[in-house]
Amino acid sequence: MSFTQKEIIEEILSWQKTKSDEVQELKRMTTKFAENERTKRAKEVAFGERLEGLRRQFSSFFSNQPQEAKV
Amino acid sequence: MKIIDVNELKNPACEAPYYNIIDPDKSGTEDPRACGCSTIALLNAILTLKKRLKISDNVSPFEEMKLIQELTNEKNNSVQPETLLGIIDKHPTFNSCRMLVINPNGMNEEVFLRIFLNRLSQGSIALSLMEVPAKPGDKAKDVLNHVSFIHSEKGEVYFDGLRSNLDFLLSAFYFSRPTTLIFFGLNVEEDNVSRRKV
Repeated sequence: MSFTQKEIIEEILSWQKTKSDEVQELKRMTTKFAENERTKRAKEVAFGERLEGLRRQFSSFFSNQPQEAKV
Repeated sequence: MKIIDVNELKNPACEAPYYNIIDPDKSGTEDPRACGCSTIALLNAILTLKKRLKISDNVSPFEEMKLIQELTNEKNNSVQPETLLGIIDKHPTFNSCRMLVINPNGMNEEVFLRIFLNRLSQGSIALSLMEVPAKPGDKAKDVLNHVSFIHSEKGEVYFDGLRSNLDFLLSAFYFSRPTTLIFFGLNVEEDNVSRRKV
């Protein structure tokens, strides 16, 4: 295995670990907040068909540059 | 107020946002690395806005943090929403933004979500005045006790520096009735015009 390959593998492993830590922390934080009726309703709306386009936008931020922001 | 250890502030070249680590042991200490949620939220907001608005000044993140701590009188552990809004009113970085204040609980869910998702995707950042329960699963007391910083970067959304998803954000925002979101929209064109005048 070359030095470059080793570096790439180490980088991937480190990235995976960071991501896994973040997922665990997010799960821990999510369980912190007790769910109420409004939360349930909001989640139904959020994950419904009508907001599908916006949800996609939510996971592809900055396809629009901040300079183009219209407020 | 929650106390957060921000060791990253030792490095003045570090870019916003700083990852927040809640550390109750730092409560009451004068250790400059320990600061409350309002300071870290404001600091992250200011540094992110400076970056996005391409504002370059000679104020380091550490100096900025010290200034916020002085203005909020944080050592007395008494940062109130009024103090927070006072800084937003006075700090020059926020002059380059347009503000929108909303309460998710006082709105139709879809309207709120449309505003929230659109704003973040357009580059706005947000501060959330909210309630975090002392223990997991505790019911809301409807008392605000935390300020968090929400922003998006490279296709991801962050809540207090933690990469988050919509499920978590909705749990957090709808947990307590007085939750208030303050959006800061970038006012780039007007900002450039005002700078040319100066």
